[in-house]
Amino acid sequence: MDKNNRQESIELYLQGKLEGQSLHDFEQQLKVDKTLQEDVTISKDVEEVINEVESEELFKENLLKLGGQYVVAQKPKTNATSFPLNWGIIILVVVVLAVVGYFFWQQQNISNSVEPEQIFASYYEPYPSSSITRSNVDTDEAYQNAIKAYNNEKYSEAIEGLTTKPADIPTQLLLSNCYLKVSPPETQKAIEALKSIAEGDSDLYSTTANWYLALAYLQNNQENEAKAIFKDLSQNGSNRYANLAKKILAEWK
Amino acid sequence: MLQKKRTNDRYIQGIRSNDTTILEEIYQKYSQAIIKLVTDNNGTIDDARDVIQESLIVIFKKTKDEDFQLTSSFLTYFYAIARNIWFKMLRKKRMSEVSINENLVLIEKSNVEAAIFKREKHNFYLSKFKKLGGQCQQLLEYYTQGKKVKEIVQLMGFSSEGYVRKRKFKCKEQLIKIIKQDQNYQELIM
Repeated sequence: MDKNNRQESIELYLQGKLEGQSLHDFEQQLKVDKTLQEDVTISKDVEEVINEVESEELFKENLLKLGGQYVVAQKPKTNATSFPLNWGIIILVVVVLAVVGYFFWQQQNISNSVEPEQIFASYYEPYPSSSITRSNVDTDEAYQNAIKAYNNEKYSEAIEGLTTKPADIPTQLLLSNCYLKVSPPETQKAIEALKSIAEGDSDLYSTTANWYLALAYLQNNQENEAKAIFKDLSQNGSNRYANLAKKILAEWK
Repeated sequence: MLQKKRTNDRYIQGIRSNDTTILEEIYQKYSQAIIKLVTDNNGTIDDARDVIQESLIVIFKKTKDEDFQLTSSFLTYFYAIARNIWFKMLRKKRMSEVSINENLVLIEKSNVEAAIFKREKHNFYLSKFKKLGGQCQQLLEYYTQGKKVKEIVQLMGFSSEGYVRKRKFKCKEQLIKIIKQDQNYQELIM
């Protein structure tokens, strides 16, 4: 086999494009040539690895965030029996803390009533495009460009490509997020899209859709609607959105 | 039984599509078991975080296989992978005295080992791929993403389609050479 064409022949062979005499010659060579066998195996494996680089990096990124959030050291427990007790001091400290805490709480109530925009700004994070399956991204160039635009925070650019997949729920979530983030925001469109996901058949995405729907209501100054959803979310298990909703309700007077 | 299958399918689908909500559920439900496994066996919370991440990547890669199905509960499978990964890490750290606190019955041992081996091989190839020049990496990525040669010419500013093809083969040859030159390669294929 011509050394210069060696890699080309391997590629063609792996793609099933080697035919006739060329295929016959290659297969004969493959039977006896250990180095060629190795090169074919590596080529095949490497192709698979490169193909998965992007999706794996996105997956890893997601895990890094979650690992930082959920796998954290527990605060050490204090051992009550071995702690030297001086009840007088403890009671005094508790009373002082309670008094200071009470005044602090009062001040907070007076000066820090949280506005919906503040909540939106503090809690809104764009839905990750990593939830999109690779098969979707691969098949459609316009779509692929839309995802890239989304990742680069070019939301108005992303909208057109994302509207091409109305049946794909993660795509619709991305689209809704674009509506929330374009300038000026197209909040009503986001609300409609998110409502239809939240009320649809997909249990998998309804919590996520509800979370963004509540934030969309906040952006639209529909406080009561937003509050009702946060309340539902907070009572719905102990997922991340439930915890965040509890936090929001606690802050929101 | 049906419930177990439904939960397994939901997790597998969620991992396959990198669904944050499902991944969060997995972290919430199962990370404590893995933290205990690692910290009971000479590890730290940071080790546990790495083990959980590596284990989920192994499962993520397995889910790319359309036929992949779990015959055990998700926790059993996840735990078995995490356990294998952690003890491999420990061996690498040369900690000879390791007491193994094992409460779960391990199943699918060969499956788990094969999945972890595949991951190790993948990491090895990936580290070599990253040693290629930026242009070669990009070119090979475009190819495997199925981009047309004409498009690659435009994207990368090359002079002709013929040059793109030639360059691709050169990059691939270079990658194979880097892989085979590494002493770990022989260990890997044995």
